[in-house]
Parts: sequence; structure tokens; C-alpha cells
Amino acid sequence: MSTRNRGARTDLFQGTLDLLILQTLALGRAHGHAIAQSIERRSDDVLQVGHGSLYPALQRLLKQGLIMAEDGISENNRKARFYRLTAKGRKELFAETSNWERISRAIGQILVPPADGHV
Amino acid sequence: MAWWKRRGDRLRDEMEQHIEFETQANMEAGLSPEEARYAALRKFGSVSLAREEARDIWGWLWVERFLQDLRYAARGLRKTPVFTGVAVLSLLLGIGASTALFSVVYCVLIAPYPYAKPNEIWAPAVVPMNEKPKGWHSYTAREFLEVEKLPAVADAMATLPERVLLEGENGPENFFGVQVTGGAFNFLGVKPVIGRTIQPFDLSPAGDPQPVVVLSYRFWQREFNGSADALGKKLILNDVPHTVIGVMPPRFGWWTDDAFWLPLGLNPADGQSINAIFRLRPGVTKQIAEQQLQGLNVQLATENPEHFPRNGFRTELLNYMDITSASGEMSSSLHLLLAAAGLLLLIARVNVANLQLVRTTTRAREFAVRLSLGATRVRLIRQLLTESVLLSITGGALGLLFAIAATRAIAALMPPDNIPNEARITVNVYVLLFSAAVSVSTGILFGLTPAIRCSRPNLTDALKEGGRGSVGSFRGQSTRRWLVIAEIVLSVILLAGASLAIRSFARVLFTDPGFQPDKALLVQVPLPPKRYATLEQRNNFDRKLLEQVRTIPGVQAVAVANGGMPFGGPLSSYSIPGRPPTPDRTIMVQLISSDYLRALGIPLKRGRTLTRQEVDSGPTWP
Repeated sequence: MSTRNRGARTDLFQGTLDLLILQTLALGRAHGHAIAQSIERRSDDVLQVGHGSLYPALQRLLKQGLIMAEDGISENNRKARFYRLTAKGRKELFAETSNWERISRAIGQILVPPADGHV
Repeated sequence: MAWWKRRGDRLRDEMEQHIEFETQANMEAGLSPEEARYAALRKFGSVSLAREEARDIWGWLWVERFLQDLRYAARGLRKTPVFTGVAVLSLLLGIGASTALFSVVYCVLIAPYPYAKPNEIWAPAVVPMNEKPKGWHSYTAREFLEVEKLPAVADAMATLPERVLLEGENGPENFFGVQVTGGAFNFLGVKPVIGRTIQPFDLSPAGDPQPVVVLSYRFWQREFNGSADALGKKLILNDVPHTVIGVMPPRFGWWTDDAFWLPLGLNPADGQSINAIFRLRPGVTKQIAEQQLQGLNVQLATENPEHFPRNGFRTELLNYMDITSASGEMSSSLHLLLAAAGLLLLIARVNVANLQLVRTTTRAREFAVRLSLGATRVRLIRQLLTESVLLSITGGALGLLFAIAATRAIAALMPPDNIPNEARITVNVYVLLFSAAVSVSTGILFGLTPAIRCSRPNLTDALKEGGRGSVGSFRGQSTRRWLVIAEIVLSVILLAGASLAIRSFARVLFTDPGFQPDKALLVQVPLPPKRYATLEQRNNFDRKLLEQVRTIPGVQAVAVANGGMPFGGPLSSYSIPGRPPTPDRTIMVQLISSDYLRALGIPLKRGRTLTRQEVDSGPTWP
């Protein structure tokens, strides 16, 4: 089952997940579970395959230098691994967000006829 | 790799903690601890998949996977010793034999010479009309000087082998000395080990050779124990002291590999024929050079018609690579053997492919289970490939050892007269690369077929049917059938070829040569022409020699002849009185003493042999 899902996981999915992580971290540092909860609150779909898929994404962002990891104490007083945005990550988030908005606006214009007055 | 392992451990801890946090959150929401944990696990999904993907990002996964595949493959191969043994043995023979023969072909036919650009060396052939070239044409010194002047010729050299009597400390002993023109060593482009080579200034302006000699490596080792003191020493050759000026490397074997080279004087008045070779000027084609040489030959034929075929001829250039001692029969048998070895390799590979197919078919259930547990197809294919390549490399490595031994054996068995002096038969780097390429590429090629087939099973069927033979049953069967057919066809071809070869070999072995070589001993006794100038002197020497040898106990018969063994001697045209003359018929003439037939055990069919008186007073031959 997991193999099948892997095939369906597209670049779009990855991009969305990465963007959501960056956005979450824009509000401050957070550990994996907190990030997952935050994303879950905001998007129904992205983490449906499992919270586990968050971790490869975090490793990917670490490797790209967009986020950094540090040890800290969680809200329930446990040692945990926290992630925060780097300067590069912040820039990337800004660029990606505007890019995203541009694309979704474009898609919206295609999919919804302007006559409907929805946009 | 420690940091990478730490990263892996930390990631696992982190994910474990994530699940714990989630469990806690679920418990706070009112679930029982067990339910809470179960829900958390379900929400997280596969921990190992996440780990694999995460590690994949850092690029280390493939190493780990590869090592794992390798371990797994080795374990699998150990578990089936019969399959592994047969497969490795097939590969060992296939790869070993083809590598050994390729080594021999490479060293004897492809790159036998140490000379500069040997494929750009040409030798002239004068071919009678409507015939094929039989050998190269030799010129007189005067003719060679004309050839050298042709516009197409960039550089030329001439060679004349000569019997040389070595006297003094190390003599007397006869050698096959080789005279070469002044520019010969520069033409061949090989540097000496010590000293210098023969140069144009070793001939006086009038063309007379200076008494200098360049030694072969073997002569140097034998006579001077490889000492550098050899330079400047004198060797008495044909009564003249010659100064040693240089020693050539072991692989340099221009017309001799155990004697020496002397400068060849080009006296236009000399009638001796010498062997010319040359290189062409850049941009000059073989055809242009042939035309120019033909023009010259036609002109020379008008001056000396006896040097050329009577009824017209054409001139061809022979590439030196094509007229070596290995060309002709040796070359064709080597190619035949190489083809046989190639077939053997093909059979070996088909055999292994077939074995692999059977093996993977029986493992269908294992693959089905692994696929359903989340292994990817690529992963399975890679694993099967690893197994196949591991097998090939093992077979290849053992095959290489076999090849080294086999190459040595072949080198020892090769008839020395049929391979160039200069050829050194060894397993070389090219051959090693060839072997590696063969072993890995065939591994991938044949490993892929079963690998692709087996990674495409129908999961439910494979699981249901208890594991046997459900993998694409029909198509698998037919592939295997074709492989078996191919194997049998190839084997039959190989067997037929081998039995034919053995039959012809046996026939040659049991051929009656017409004389009894097993009891005959052969000694060459050249006489220095200066000391034995007249026929009477030579006859006296022969008579004394025969008388003295005859007294040696055990000697039954003794004779002298110009060619030694039968089938030698100069060609002569002949006619029979009373029959119409046939100008183009020739017969081989051998000059012999009276006891020749008895000495070689040749039965006399009719009549009598020559008497001693007839031999002593016989006609002289030029």
C-alpha cells in the first residue's frame, strides 16, 4: 500500500508540504509533532499518508539549508528536537509564497470563468 | 560513517518521540493508553519507510542497500552450492578461455611488434600475372637505391641475413647475423638498452660498412652476462674484429632474437638480393605508391629480366602486419580458437542465465511476500542484479586466474617458428579490461531478464499457489525452452568444430613424412667463404668431416646436404629430353652426399643412390 502511495506522491505534494513546514516555522521554532499538528489543522490532505512523511521533508529542508535543528525542552518538559527557519529559509518562504499566489491566481482564473464573478 | 549512523539513530528517537507525544495527546482526548498508542502509530504510518526516505535524502541509503544486497546475494548463493558451483564453473571456463585466447591473439596478431607504427611499414611484392602475392620481392643494392628515391617513399631500410662465424674467446659458433642499412634502427624506432644503434655514419661515404655490431638482449646476456662492460669489446665475426656499440631491449627481434645486427653496405656492384621495406610520405596512398613502384619495376625488368617474372607482373604493397610469421595458417587457427572460445563464453552465459531463470522462478513466493511488505520493484530488480553481477565477478575473477595459467600454457605450446620473435604472450591490461567488461556486462545483460520477469508477478496468485511456478508460467517456460535450444545448438557447433580439429590434428600427427626424423640429428656447418674458397677445399672439409663423424660410436650413417632436411633447396626449371619443354615447370634440387638416403631413412624405390665419386666430381652449382 505504501508503495502505491509513493508513486502518487508528486512534486506538487512535496512542494506543498515543504511550504507548509516553512510557514509553520515562520511563527517560531517547533518540534516535529507540533509541526505536524499545525499542518493538520491547516490542511486536510497533505499529511493523510501519515505523520511519518513529515520527517523526510524535514531532512530535505535541512539539507537545503532552509531550516536548522537544535535540541530544546518541549512544553511538557521533555527533551526534544526543535526546528527553526534560517535566513535563507525565510527568503525562500517569501519567494515561494508569492510564486504560489501567482500560480493559484492563474489557475483560479482558468478554472473559474470570470463571468461567475467568483475570483 | 559514524555520524551517519548517529543521524539515523537520532531520527529514530525523534520519530519515536513524535509517536509518544501523539499518544499522550490522544490519552488527553480520552482514549485508553492502548487505543491511544495504536491510533498514534496508525497516524504516523510506516516508521521504516519514513526512515528510508529520510536517509535517502542524505544520499547514504544506496551504500547501505548495496551492502545489504551484497550480503543477501552472498548468503543466497552459499545456500545453493550446486547452482553456484555450476554457474561459477561455467563462467570460469567461458571467461577464462576467451580471455586467454584474446591475450594470445592480441599479443601475436594485434600488437606483436615493439616497432614504431608497424602498420605503416610496407613491403613490395612482385606478383606474376593472374596469381596471388606469395611473398615479398627482394632487390639488389643498386635497385634498392632506386626504390629509396621514389617520391612516394618517405623512408626505407633493407635487411640481409647472413651466416656469421663467431671466433675468439666465445667461439667458434655459428650465428644468423642480420645486416641492416644505416638508417634501419631509426626507421624501426626502438632505442637501445645501452650504447647506441647502427647509424648512417657507420657506413663510409663509399658505402662500406664499419666493423661495428649491435647485440640482441639474449646474446648480451649469454656472452656478457648482461654487463655494461660489453660496450667497446671486440667480437671476431667472419675473421674481422667488430666493436660492440650497443644492446637492444629483449623485445627487439628484427629477424633474430639471439644474435646481432651489423651495418649493411650498399655496393651497387653487388648482386646479392636484400629485403626492402619502407614507409610512405604523408598523404600518399597505397595505390599511388604501387603505381610508382610498378613503373620502377618495369624499368628494372628491362635491365635485369632475370629478377622478375617472365610473362608480365604487377606490383603490390604488403602491410608488414600481414606478412609476419603469424600470418596465414597461424592466424586462421588463432581466430578459429578465439571464435570457439567466444562460443564457449556464450554457452556459459546462456547456461547461467537459464540457471538463474529457474532459480528465480522457484523464488517467486519470496518476491511476492517482499513486494506485499512494501519492497519496491526497483529494489527487487537491483537485488537480483547484484546477485547476478556478484556471480559474474566471482566467475570472472576465477576465470582470470584460469586465463593467466592457460595463457602461460598456450605460450609454452605455441610453435616458436609461427609467432613473431617480438611477440610476448602475457595477460595484459587490455585483456584484463576485456575480461572485466565481458564478466560485468554479461552479468547485467542476463541478470536483467530474470530480474524483470520476476519483479512482475501477480501477487495474489503467487501467494495463493504456495510458491511454485506461478511466475508468468507460460512465458517463463518458453524463454527457458529457447535458452536450452540455444545452448544445445551452440554446443553442437562447438563439438563439431572441435572434433574436426582433432581429426585433422590426428591426421597430421600420423602422416608419414617419407623419412624417419626421430633418429636423425641435424647440425649446420657453414664454412667461412674466405678460408674455403675453392670447391676442392670444401670437398676436402666435407670428406674429413664425414669420415670423422662416421667413427663416432652409435652413428649409423652420415651425410651432408645443402638443405639438411628434405623439402629444401633451390628451385630449378627442368625439361625431359624427348618431351616438349615446359618452361614454367620447376623442381626443387637438393645437393647431397652419397649416404643421404640411408642417414634419413628414406627408402630407395628403384635403382641406386649416388656414389662418392659422383658426389666429389659433380657439377658445381652457383
